[in-house]
Amino acid sequence: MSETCGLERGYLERQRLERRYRRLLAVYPPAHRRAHGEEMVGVLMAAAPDRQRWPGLAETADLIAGAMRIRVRAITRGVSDPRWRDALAVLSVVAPLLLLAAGLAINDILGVAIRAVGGSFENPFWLAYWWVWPSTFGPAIVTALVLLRLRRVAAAAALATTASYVIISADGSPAADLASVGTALWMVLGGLATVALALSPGPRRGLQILGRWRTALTAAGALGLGALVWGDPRLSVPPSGRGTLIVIFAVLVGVVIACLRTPVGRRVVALLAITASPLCYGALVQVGAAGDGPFGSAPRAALLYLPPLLVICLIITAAWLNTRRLDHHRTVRQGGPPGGDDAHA
Amino acid sequence: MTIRSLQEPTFLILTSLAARPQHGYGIMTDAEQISGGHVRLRAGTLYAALDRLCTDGLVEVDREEVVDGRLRRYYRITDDGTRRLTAAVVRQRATAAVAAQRLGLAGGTA
Repeated sequence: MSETCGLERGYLERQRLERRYRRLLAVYPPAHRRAHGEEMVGVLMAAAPDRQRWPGLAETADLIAGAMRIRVRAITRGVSDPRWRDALAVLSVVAPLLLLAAGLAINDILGVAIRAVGGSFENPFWLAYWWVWPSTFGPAIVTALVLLRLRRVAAAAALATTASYVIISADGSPAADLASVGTALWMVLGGLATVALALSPGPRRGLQILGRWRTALTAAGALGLGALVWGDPRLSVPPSGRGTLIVIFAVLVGVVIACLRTPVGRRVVALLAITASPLCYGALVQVGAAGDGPFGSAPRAALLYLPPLLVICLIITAAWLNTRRLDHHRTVRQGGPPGGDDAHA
Repeated sequence: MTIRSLQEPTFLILTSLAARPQHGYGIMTDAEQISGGHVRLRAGTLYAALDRLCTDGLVEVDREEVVDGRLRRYYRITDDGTRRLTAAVVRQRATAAVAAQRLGLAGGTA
């Protein structure tokens, strides 16, 4: 009698352990659970000694770490699509050039430093302000490293340049305001350059795709547009009229139409759309259709940063859905168990 | 072309499958035996590695069985997997030979 009770208790304890393992497997992506959930439970139960009642600490940590690796891989698999990788490689060249152009076009940080030393550009003491260095020299250094095809060093320099904008802005100094068009544009372009350099095959591949002529044209175009709106740094807002803006937008529309003809070009445009809201807001400020007015700086920051975040979320969601679709096809090809173990998760 | 060196769990899984198709638990016990008891693959590490190896085309599903009401999926090494494992063995053998020579060990590589 007691032997039967003991066996029954042992059986119930094993069932409880299995339920605990199934709960732990909830950390895995559903597609992975559908494909491997049942066999993983089988392996975990086979490896568990008879007296084991709970998943061990090391075992739990290993399962969580395994799940994290699979989830990270699922996200980066979207990036590993050759067309996205090529688009990022192109951006690893283009984004630093645009950052350099943006530094030429909107130089309000430099303006603050020059005003602080008496309003003369020729007075070199403006160089004594550390916060003027990243925005003045950072983009040029990143671009030089990109042209030297030093991907990792360029990525680190782009990250340092972007981080310096955040530090300068968060410092509360008058040099930079998170809600300013210039800071927003630099941060978005700097972030884009960092991600493109870190996750793509890098400038070597980007320059190969672009070719010599298109690289030269992109550089000349970006710097030309930057110089077109370049203003006296002693002024906080670059002086450029509606005519200049029309020329800039006409060029941008022409470039976008040219890019839309190829799959890689379409992806480049999608990624560059992240920078659209600071550019559009800047244009509205130029034509006098936007300003602090009744809105104040907090809603302005939201207008500058929320659209880029929305575009990033859209791109990540599209890549994730594509990965899920590929995973689903892979599971069907491998003949995963129908229904899976989602019911237990 | 540069071939990335294999991580230890990957090396052990491919070595385990080089002899015959195996199921998950079989790979775990075999890997422990191959490593002389030094490496004990856990389920999380094993299935993260199998997921990557399947995606990279180095390993594929051989067959499925239901034993005692539980699913057992057998994996086998692919031709690409065999090539990668062979390349890793050749590289490790060459490195070990140099190490043995510099240490003045008799007998060279294992």
